[in-house]
Amino acid sequence: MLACLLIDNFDDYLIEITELLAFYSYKWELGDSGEVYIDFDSIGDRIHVLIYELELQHGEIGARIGVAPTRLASFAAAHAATVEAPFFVSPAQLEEFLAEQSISYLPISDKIEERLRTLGLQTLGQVAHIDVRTLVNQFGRAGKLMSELSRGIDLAPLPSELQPVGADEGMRQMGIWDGREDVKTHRQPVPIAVVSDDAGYPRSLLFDHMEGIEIFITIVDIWTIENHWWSEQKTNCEYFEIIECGAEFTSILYKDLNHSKWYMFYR
Amino acid sequence: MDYAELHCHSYYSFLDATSSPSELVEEAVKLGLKGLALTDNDALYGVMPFVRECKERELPYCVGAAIAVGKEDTELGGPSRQPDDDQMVLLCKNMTGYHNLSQLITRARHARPKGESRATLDEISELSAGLICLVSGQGNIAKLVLEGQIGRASAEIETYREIFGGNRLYVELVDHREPGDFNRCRKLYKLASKLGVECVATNAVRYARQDKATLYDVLRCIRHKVKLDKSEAVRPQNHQRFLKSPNVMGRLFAEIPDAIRNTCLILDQCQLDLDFTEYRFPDFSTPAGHTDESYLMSLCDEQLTRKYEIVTVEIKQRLREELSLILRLGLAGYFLVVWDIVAFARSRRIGVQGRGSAANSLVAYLLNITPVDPIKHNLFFGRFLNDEKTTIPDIDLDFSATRAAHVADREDVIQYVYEKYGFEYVALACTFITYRVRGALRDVGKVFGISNRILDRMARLAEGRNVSSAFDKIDELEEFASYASRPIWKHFREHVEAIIGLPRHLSMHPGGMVITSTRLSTLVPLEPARMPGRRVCQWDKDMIEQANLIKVDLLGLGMLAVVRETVDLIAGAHGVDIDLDAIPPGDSKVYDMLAVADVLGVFQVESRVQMSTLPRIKPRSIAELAIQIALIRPGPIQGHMVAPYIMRRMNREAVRYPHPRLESILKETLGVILFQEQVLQVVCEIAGYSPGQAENLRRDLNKTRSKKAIDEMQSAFVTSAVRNGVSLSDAKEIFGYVAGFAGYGFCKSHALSFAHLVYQAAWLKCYYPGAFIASLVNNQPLGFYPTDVLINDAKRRSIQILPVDVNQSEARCTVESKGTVRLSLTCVKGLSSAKAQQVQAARGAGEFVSIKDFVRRTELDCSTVERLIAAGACDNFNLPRRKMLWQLWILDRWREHNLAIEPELASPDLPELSAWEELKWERAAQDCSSSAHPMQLLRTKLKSYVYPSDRLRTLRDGVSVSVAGLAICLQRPPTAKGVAFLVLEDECGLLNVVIMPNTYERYRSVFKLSPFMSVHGVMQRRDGIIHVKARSFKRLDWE
Repeated sequence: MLACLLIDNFDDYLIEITELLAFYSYKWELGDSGEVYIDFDSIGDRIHVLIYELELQHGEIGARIGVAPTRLASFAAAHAATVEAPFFVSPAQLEEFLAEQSISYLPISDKIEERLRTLGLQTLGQVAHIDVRTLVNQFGRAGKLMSELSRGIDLAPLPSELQPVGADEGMRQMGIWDGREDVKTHRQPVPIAVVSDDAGYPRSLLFDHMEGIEIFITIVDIWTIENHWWSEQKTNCEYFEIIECGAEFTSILYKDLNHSKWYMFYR
Repeated sequence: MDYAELHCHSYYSFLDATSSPSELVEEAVKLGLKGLALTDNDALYGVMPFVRECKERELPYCVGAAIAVGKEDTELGGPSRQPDDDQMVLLCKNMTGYHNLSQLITRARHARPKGESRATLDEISELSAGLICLVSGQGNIAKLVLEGQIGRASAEIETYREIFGGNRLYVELVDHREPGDFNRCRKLYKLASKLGVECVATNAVRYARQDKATLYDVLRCIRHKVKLDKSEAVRPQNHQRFLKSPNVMGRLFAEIPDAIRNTCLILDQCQLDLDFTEYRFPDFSTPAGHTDESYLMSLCDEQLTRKYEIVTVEIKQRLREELSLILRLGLAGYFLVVWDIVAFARSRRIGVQGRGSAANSLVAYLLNITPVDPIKHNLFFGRFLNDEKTTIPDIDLDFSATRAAHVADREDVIQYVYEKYGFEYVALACTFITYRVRGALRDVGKVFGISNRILDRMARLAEGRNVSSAFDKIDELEEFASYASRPIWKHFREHVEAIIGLPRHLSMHPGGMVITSTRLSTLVPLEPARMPGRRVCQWDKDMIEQANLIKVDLLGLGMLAVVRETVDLIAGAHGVDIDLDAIPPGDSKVYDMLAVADVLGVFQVESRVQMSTLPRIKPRSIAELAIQIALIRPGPIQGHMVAPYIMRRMNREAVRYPHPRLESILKETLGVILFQEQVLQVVCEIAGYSPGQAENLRRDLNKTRSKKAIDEMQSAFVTSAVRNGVSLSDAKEIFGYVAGFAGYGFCKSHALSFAHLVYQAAWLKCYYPGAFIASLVNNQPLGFYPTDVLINDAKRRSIQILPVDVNQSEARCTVESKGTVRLSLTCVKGLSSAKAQQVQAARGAGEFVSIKDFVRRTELDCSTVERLIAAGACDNFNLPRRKMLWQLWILDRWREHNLAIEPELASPDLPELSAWEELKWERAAQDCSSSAHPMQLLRTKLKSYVYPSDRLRTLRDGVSVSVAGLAICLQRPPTAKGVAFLVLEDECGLLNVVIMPNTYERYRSVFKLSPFMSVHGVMQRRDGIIHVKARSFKRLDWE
């Protein structure tokens, strides 16, 4: 039996969910529509503990659980479930349950789904009644798949482990790093005190922890970045590529114009 | 420190800048710039308003363009941009430079896809005289310098120096404070100094003020079709492309002060005063021994005896006066050119008639430019032409415009003009398509990643230019919650508001053609239109007028095509040849039909308001039809002329004249001012103004909204009137009527031209309704109502409408026997004339017998055949529509994969289409349907107290009533003080619903978003006209 777990705003908790799943079950799979399939035989009631742990961190997450013999049936069952009551479909109930379900649960393209509806085929029961050869003749490989799934046949086993996603790719997917600013070879910025000239350009750096030493600088390049103004991550910074007096390499100094604070990147 | 900005784009750079020329000039003056150049991308679109604004604000200016440059000539018609392409700014030193720049842009755009441009070095070299070149500091040379390829960069600069010489070439330095700018400027300066070439600083401006910078980002995203989140590559990294003050620019280029100083030196060199006095309208090639003048006079004399049985002294006198004025103003050639165009159209049986004030002219009547006899209708020539007129009057011509490929129409006339005067001497005026609310929502919404569902809903809620209307009530949508609290929503709204009014792209004027005796491309750049065989100039009609160029409007009028095609259909189906000029002028059956507002499809009088006034006015002649047409216009409505006229027409109010001296002028309109000519005549009569002064007063009242200006006009009018023997109170009252007419109104000649056509159309509808409806459908889109409404009206007139049938239908609707119309293949959406002809050609080998046979012989694409099946056009194959689709999709797969084996077409049992599904399929697949009205099916779901529209005739005024129907059109005219008018259609006919402002606001989302609705309200019956005054609306679920 498979459990399908549906959670509101699934992507917001993706990392925690995958970490918890790796801990609670060795067989699980992320679905395409923000759901996760778990081997119910191995996780059993501990699925509620997993949900409890997520809710400890995030509050109510609207989790619904459907348990059934196939992915499709468990997915449909999860939609029939409520937050309070999971929905179970036994192997004996499977055919009857599927027959009433909408074809929208089938993993088929929008175009094929639209064609099925145009033909008046709205439920899995209607699809299941059509001979598999006829469906293949019309829809090719998708015809075979929809014939099997609508009859409760699901031959693909759950994978036993999740392939890790590269850290860079993961960060990129999550929008943490857009790889754009030309400062990625530098370390994290640190706040710094700066003495400016009349035009507002930096003239020297002040180091409090070095007894107020003032180091004069030469500006090599100046640029301004104003970005993400439409989001909460609005940036508005003026950058200066500088050489400290006596130094060999350039460093990057910038002023966060949103907060009027200076920062320095060191190589 | 002085600074002039020499590289500045206005919003005429289309999605590459945000500010109007006027905003730029205003900001430049505010910042204290020494001068400003306008340099849009490969265009001089904004030159006329820019120069006017600079002159008004006394700001020294420079005209130029940013030109895309290609090193080698690529094949014409090929891709415009190449990797090595560059850009340069060219500034005009004088008129020679201007002529050359205009020609250069024309050549750079010639034979390239619309909107693309690329000048070659050879072209630039040939046309470089009078131009100053700023080599781009952000282009190819800058790239080479940064890559360290100094040798190649030097060679490029040398190439330009060979073209422009040392004193007209500058290297442009731009520091937008983007990464690398600072160093690039220094390196370019170093290289230029080494080569002995001067540098000049610019800010390559894209917006007047920095607060428009985010809008610029949004425009870039729209231009490149990307969302903001993915737009890093297409928009700048900061917001520094605004007009900067001399001090700020001075600080940016503190190390290179020469670059700032040179801006003013260049500005001083540019002494351009746009002067088009050398422009002339082309001469007409007259027969030997004739001048334009003598030929025009001889033509008029010749026609005079043909048009008038008795040529009275009055007619002769009028002709003499008109000709004398035309000759004095040098317009003889102009009239002959128009006469020639009309003669060509008539020779090809292309429907043509003059519109507008030209019909006031006896000369125009004699030359067959207009069918309206100015003597018979007492038309006032001064409205068209007078000694004081400062601009050349437009002569607008309407030609039949049809979609039928085999029928000559306006397009043939346009091509005739191109051929006759030469492709280099003729171009269509352009129009700038600007953002309105719906377009703004769509484009900006996509950039901000708003869902299509939300955008669709907002677009439907949007009203006119009111942005709030689109944003109200959106919170009812579930999806909205995911945007509501995010900053993006606020930005979305702000940018929708900001983008409205900005030009988005270029389009063609419907028919305004500029014709010149000199090469037009030296005056204004020309560019290819998307439509083959068309070229447009880079100015719209106002800019053309500002430059004093003459434009002839060759407009398309669908009703002329309808009338002509109806005559052809009648000849084919009934064997009767109709001569429209010979139909009886006072046919009472036709006027009876008009009097009961049975006028759907009849041009000009079919609107809701016209239909509600026709039964009151009951026109019985062409002149009264002209009044009917002219009555429902903003001018008479705002001047409160409508109600008095109707009351007097119905003998419920005595005819009264504002002054006894006005009786002869206002007699035919029962004492109220309805026509523009009457405004002029009243002003002349009362205040003693000359026709030119009166025309100027009318125009000024039309333009100005300033109370002070109107008071001044009133004061002058009243003073003159009193001096002219009119009492002070009468003078003030009459001025009130004149000023009240300030809104748009028809001139009588124009209304009469239209009235002739209205009568012909009504006559055809009355006697040959089948042919008329077939022709109407063939010429859609046209008029006030969707095709389906016209078809439903025909059905109610007992005309049998036969469905589209792949074995019977032609490319155009046909009349099969008296009263029977067969819908055409092109009624099916997406089925073009070409595809219809494909079907007809394949059918030549015999009728189609199955879907397989049809698909194989016609080779039509799958989606077109899908729609034919859905529309019921394949029903004679005797297979349910769903099974035909099943077969079609298998056949399509086989065709796609080119499989040699025969497909297995057997289909499983599929549910039968319900009546409602069948109707929905048909409505989705075609613009009109021969089957039942959807309300007939919905009626079974409604309570018995929801009446069909024909039952309303039996009800008393003032009773409560419920009705239901399909929304046909919703209008909320600005003159109606917030009251809206909704036309619903049910299975029995149309019904009018009046919606008061409070009800409108409360139920707006129902009638804006739902096609079917029920209305509860109060029955209103006035003079046989029925309305329902709505109290509440309810959405009818039709899914």
